[in-house]
This record gives sequence, structure tokens and C-alpha cells, in this order.
Amino acid sequence: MTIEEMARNPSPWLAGRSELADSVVSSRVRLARNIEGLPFAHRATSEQLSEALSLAREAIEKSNTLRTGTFMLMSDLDDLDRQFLVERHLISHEHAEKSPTRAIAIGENEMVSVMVNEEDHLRLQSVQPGFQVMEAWRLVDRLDNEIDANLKYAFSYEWGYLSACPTNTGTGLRASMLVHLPGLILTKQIEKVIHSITQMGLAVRGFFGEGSEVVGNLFQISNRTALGTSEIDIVQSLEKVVRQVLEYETRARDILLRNARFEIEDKVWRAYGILKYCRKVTWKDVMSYASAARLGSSLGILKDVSVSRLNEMIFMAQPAHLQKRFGKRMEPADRDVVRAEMIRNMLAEDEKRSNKGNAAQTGEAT
Amino acid sequence: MLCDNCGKEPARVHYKEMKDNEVTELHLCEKCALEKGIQLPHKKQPFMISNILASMAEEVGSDIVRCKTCGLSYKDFRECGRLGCADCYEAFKEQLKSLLRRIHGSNIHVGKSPRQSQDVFEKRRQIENLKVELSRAIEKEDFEKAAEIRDKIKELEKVAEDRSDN
Ligand SMILES: [Zn+2]
Ligand SMILES: [Zn+2]
Repeated sequence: MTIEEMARNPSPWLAGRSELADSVVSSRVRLARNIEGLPFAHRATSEQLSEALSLAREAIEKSNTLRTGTFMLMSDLDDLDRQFLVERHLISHEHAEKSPTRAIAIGENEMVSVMVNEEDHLRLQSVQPGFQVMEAWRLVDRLDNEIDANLKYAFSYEWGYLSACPTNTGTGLRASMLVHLPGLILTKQIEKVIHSITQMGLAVRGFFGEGSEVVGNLFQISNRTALGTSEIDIVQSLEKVVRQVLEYETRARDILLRNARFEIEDKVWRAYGILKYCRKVTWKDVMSYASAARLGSSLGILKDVSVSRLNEMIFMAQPAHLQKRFGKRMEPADRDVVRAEMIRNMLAEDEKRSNKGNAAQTGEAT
Repeated sequence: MLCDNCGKEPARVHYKEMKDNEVTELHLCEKCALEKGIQLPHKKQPFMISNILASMAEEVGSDIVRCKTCGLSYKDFRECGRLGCADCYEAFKEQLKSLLRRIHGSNIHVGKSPRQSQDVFEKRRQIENLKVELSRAIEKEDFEKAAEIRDKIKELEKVAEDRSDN
């Protein structure tokens, strides 16, 4: 698989159906692992990094899960390719550095991947659509066992998996869910909810675009501690807290529909109208409008476009995605025009499909 | 640009939300953003660890301790928040014990373990449990039971040591 092939479509896992997908975009679990006998990446010489790379690569390519996957060195990719991988949530910003010892292994459907020589020698990751953090854990746990069969991890009986940053030491596990909370934002309850999530020992961060801006009413909720609790317990307590947050979100949406129906409908239809008819649009604005449209779609106000389609739109409208898809580098102003066109086409397709569906239904009825 | 919230520090986090059909922007300094629960993107050092490390800075004596394997000093660690190698955990054991407890609320691993060491890990966990039983037996002055437990521990320790040597 090449970056060009990947860029033709949104991440394959986005199309998957799952529980609570209205409010949860994705669930993700990552494990931090280091190789015994080698210094952590930031303190290793280039020879030691090369050794870590070849040991990791061998173990990854022997694993059942990633045997058929793709292995890419950061130094073999240009800046646009690397940015594409960041947008795809396959690598971190820090990892997108042109280095001959940094690499990424990507499995089928992009559901599992491994960053090599990021802050830790290996960062195993699994992503699932919707509320499926337990399934993500199962996949990454399996991959971890497969790699463990061919690699000796740095591990202590007392402190578990040893990591470059002590915040990861122990299980090395970070479980997170990306949740869409427009109801809590509109009813101005988000701060209160974020505060209580933090009180319960979890971390919340906004979903960031290119810079440091929180966009699209998206929040990532994750565990903050990794030592002294088992993996399953960490995952279950995240599930519990997110379910609670989603309950608040549902309640907020009910309140909005009851007390401000026209305001909400107006907001949703305006956003949809802009997406449908715009001639130039920035990615950040797409995030805001898609967020409102997403709310409208899950409330049943918008029938022509699905939540999963809007998720795809958010991904495909990102700068590197656009440029890879159209096969050329573009200045921001040109990207805005191409982006608007792509979004109009996506929505036109959906509308056609949904009209056809309606026609077929009425046809049957008569 | 100064922070919208405190008006003192420079704004570093730009937060956008849709309100009343308008996109309103909030510009916050790092401190106010953190207070609102919004973490900064890709910061070199996570807040949590730099805060904890700063609050533990009093133990100056530790600073000169150095890891023999990778050469990192405890002072280096306090400054960058990253350990240099697995052996640093041994070199800074005492300091890390309390640091890990402050970060995680615990300093004992209870999750999965690598396959090669799973047996040993299991044995050590059994030993830990037996030690608790042992002190309970001693407290109750049940010395017969205590002796029994002690033998069990010795046996397990032998197995665990043999295994971890390979
Ligand atoms: Zn401030
Ligand atoms: Zn060291």
C-alpha cells in the first residue's frame, strides 16, 4: 500500500458501524514499549537507533497482524506524505521528522499500526470506529503478544514496562475516545463536565487542527495514569466515564430541542447550506460546519447526510489529504477552492442516493 | 495577544466555539487553558510531570546521582522529564518510587507482563501476597502457620530467581 493509494479514500475503519457512533468518532489504545538493552530513543546514538529499528522491524514483520502490512521509513517520505500520516492519526507531530531511523508499520484497514523510534522504541496503536475501546485493546494486546514473541521488552517486575517518560511506565497504555459534544458546548456545560472528568482521574484535550486551536466541538478523553491498574480496568473506567459524559450530552440535546428548536434547526441548516454551496472554505470552517451538520444528522433534522459521511468529510478535507488526493501541491487559497468543490460533490452524491432511496420507497408503497 | 481570561499572560491556546450562529474565539494563556481542562497540543514536556518534578525539586542531593549505563544524571532527568534507559529506573530507584506514586497513585505494576517473564512475574506476585499473609500470621502469633508460609516463600523465590537468570 502506498500513500497515494491510501489518500484515495478516508481511513477504511471510519466506514465501520458501531454503538454510539453518533457521539463517538473513534476509540484508540496505544502501548509504549522499549527494547531491552538499548537506551531510549532520545538518548540513543544513530547506530543504536538503527539497531532498535531493525530489531523492531524484524519482530513486526514476523507478527501475524502486521505480516501483510506496510512498513515505511520517515526518510523515504516527503513532507506532504508525512503530514498526511499525521492527519490520518497514524503518526504524531514529533514523529513526522525526516529521519532514517523513524518508521511506521501500518496494518490492514489502518486499524493497527506501530511507530518505531518515537519517544519509545515502539508505540503500538489500534483504532476503532465509535465506542469500541475494548475491541481496540484486544487488537493491540494481540499484536503486543505477537511482537513480544520475537523481541525482548524492557520490563521490571515492580514497575512494569519501562518507558522514556515515567507517566507511561507500568502498562504503557493510553486509551482514548474522540467524542463530539456540541450539546454540552451550546448549553455552556462543557467546562463543568470537563472539570468533573478531570476529577475522576481522566484527561480531556481538545481536538486540534493545524495549530493549537480546538475545533469541531471534538474532545479526546483518555486515562491519565498507567501504573497500579490493570489494562482492562483502565479501559473499563474510561468506558464508564465516557458513557456518563454521553448521557449528559444526550440530556443537553434534549434541552436544546425543547427550548431552542428553531435556533438549532437554523444553525444546522445554515451549516449544511454553506457546506453544500460554498465555493471556497478552510478546513477549520469545515470542522465547525460539519460539527453542526453532524448534530443535525444525529438529531434527525438532516436526512440527506449521515454522521459517518461527515466524519469522512472532516478527514478528507484536511490540507495534506486534499493535496495527495488531487496529486499536486497547492497554496492554501487554491486548496480552499478544491476543498469546497470536493465537499459539494460529496453532499450532492449523498442527496442523490437518499432521493433515490425515497423514490424507491414511495414506488413500493403505491 | 493577552489571555482573554486573566489578561496577564500571553495567549497561547486559541479555542473556537459556535455560539448563537457565530463562531466565537477564545484566546487563553497556558495556565488558564489548563485550568479550563484544555491541554496544549504536542508540548515537549507534559504539564503533569513538569509540575510534579518542579514540586519535588527540594531534594537537591539526588541531582548528582548518575545512571552508569547511559550517563544521565538525576538533574538531567528533572530538566527534560525523560529517562535515558531502562537502567535509569534502577539508578534513580528511590527518587522514582515517590515520583511514580505521585504520578500514578501507585508504584506497583499490576498489568500484563512479557511472555518470557510471565512465570516469574506470577511467582513474585504470589510471594508478595504470601508476605502479607506472613505478617498477619505473626501478628496473630500463629507461628506454625508463619513457618509454613516462610517455607513456601523460600521455594517460590528459588524458582523465580532460577527463571529470571536465563
Ligand atoms: Zn490567562
Ligand atoms: Zn540510564
